[in-house]
Amino acid sequence: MPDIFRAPVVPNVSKRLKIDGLEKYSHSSFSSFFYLPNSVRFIGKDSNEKIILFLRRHPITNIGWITLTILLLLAPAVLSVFPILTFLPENFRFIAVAMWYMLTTAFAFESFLNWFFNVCIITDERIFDVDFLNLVYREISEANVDQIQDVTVRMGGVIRTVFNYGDVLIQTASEVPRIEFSSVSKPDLVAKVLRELRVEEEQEKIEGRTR
Amino acid sequence: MMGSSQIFGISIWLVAKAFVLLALAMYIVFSLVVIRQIRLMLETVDMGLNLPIRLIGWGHFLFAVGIFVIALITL
Repeated sequence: MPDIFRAPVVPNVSKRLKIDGLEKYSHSSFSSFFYLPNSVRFIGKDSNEKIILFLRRHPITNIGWITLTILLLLAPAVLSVFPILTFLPENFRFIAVAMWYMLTTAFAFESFLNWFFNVCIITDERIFDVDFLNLVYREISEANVDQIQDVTVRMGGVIRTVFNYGDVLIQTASEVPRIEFSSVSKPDLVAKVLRELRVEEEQEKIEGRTR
Repeated sequence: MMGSSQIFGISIWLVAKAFVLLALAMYIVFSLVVIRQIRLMLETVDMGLNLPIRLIGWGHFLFAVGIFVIALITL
């Protein structure tokens, strides 16, 4: 007997991953606003969990350490005009300059790592804030999307307005009461994505499709 | 110049060399900690750039060892 009505098969994961207007923000691994990154994995990621946004601090926030690194690299050449190290023997002078460049390299590399690995991740189920506070200490704050209670965008000052970056403060009902995405690019869009995910999560709860 | 300055019969440059080598040895330890840090970071977030970042870390370590060896020989 032919079926009169066949209920549509509802997939387990129904999140609307495609958010209009964000496709153009898919960039490289160095991007500060990476929409739907396929190549990114993180600790504790579920196999069926999809990363929606991968964020890090706006590149302009690196201007301070980059400028300082350039000045530090130029310093030995500039200081060679002044007879500061002339009291040292030639071999000690050479090692002193080599040590200077070594410390400069360490400073630049650490600053880069600090920017590159302090990331914020929004998946279809959770939000993460990964912070490396010093050389071997990491802090990962996590909350489920349905635990988000309030999202505040904080943006102020000339530089932040011109380059369109700011802080996104997320109040949650999880163990971590507040998660802060600091100096992220396009904070309004981040808030929009979070809002759409919350709406979608509510919809899933109503339809009984929660994972 | 190097042989003229002495403290208690010990050349001041020999003492300076010991301090420089100690500082460089500590820096080698620091560069090893950086390698450990990179491993921890890559375990936490993997962005498909593991190899270049690991190579920079090991290059930094080899640079530190190289400077230590040069200091050991030339000072």
